[in-house]
Amino acid sequence: MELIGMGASPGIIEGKVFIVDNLQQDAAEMEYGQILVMRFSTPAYFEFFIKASAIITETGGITCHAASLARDLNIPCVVSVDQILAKVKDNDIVTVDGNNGVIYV
Amino acid sequence: MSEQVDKFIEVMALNLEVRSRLPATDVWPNPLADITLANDISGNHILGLLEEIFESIDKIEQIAKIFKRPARLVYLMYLFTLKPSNTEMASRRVRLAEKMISAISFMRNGDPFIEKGQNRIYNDNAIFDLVHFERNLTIDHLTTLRKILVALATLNEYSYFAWVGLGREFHGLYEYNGMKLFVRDYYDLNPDFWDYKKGFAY
Repeated sequence: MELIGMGASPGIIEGKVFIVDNLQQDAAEMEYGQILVMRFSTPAYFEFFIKASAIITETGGITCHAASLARDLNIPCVVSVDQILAKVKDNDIVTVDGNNGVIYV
Repeated sequence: MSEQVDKFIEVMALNLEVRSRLPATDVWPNPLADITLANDISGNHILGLLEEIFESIDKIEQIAKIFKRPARLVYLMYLFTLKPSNTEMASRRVRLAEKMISAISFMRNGDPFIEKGQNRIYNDNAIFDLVHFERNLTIDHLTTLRKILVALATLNEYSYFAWVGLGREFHGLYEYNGMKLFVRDYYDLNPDFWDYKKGFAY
């Protein structure tokens, strides 16, 4: 399955999904190198960001918070992927193509 | 004023209600960080404080020391979108704006509006120190440096919400021995108005 969004930070990487959808989740549950999937980002997700090998968000544009942090971290990021939280679940293997804004599930 | 306070409380209550809901479906930045709302609530008061500071301190070097970086003053110039209530207030604000621009100009080495396309704040000595430090870094440090950069940006957002210009200044380009430097400067990440930071080591 191909999911289309907007490429916000370049690079291609494959990994296991880790979904963050509330502010009380514990970053200790996330392994280094997982693909961070979220509706949108806030500074509260810092500990998740630094473990991620790529970031996918359901909302936002190429200047959004997640996109900017992904570029700082030099990891791929695809934003504005419609209904991503409903289409993937934790530990799904996905490939993030930040160059073209595509997610392969 | 009471209407504005009512508005502030209404927005804050709504915001807290939304923020307390899980899963988080609200937006960032926090609506309370809207600078125009802050203008409505306390803009005139802040302008009064700025007038006091600029009236009581003659030396521009001291002003620069208080505000630390020009972006802070630039941010505060949003306050001038407030309409003065009479001509006397209008002329006071013009005087204040002129002084603020003078201070910005001093901090930006004579180019307050960055018309030359470069925001130069550091002098040659500071650039020398920076370059000397950077030369000790290797490619192995890059990943850690990137994480530190994200940590600094995040802490800045926690400290100042959407007013991120109050805690950071991006400046440059500087040239040194054929190199070009752009500085992302987070200079005040422990403001004393946040209790939770009192235990921080820095």
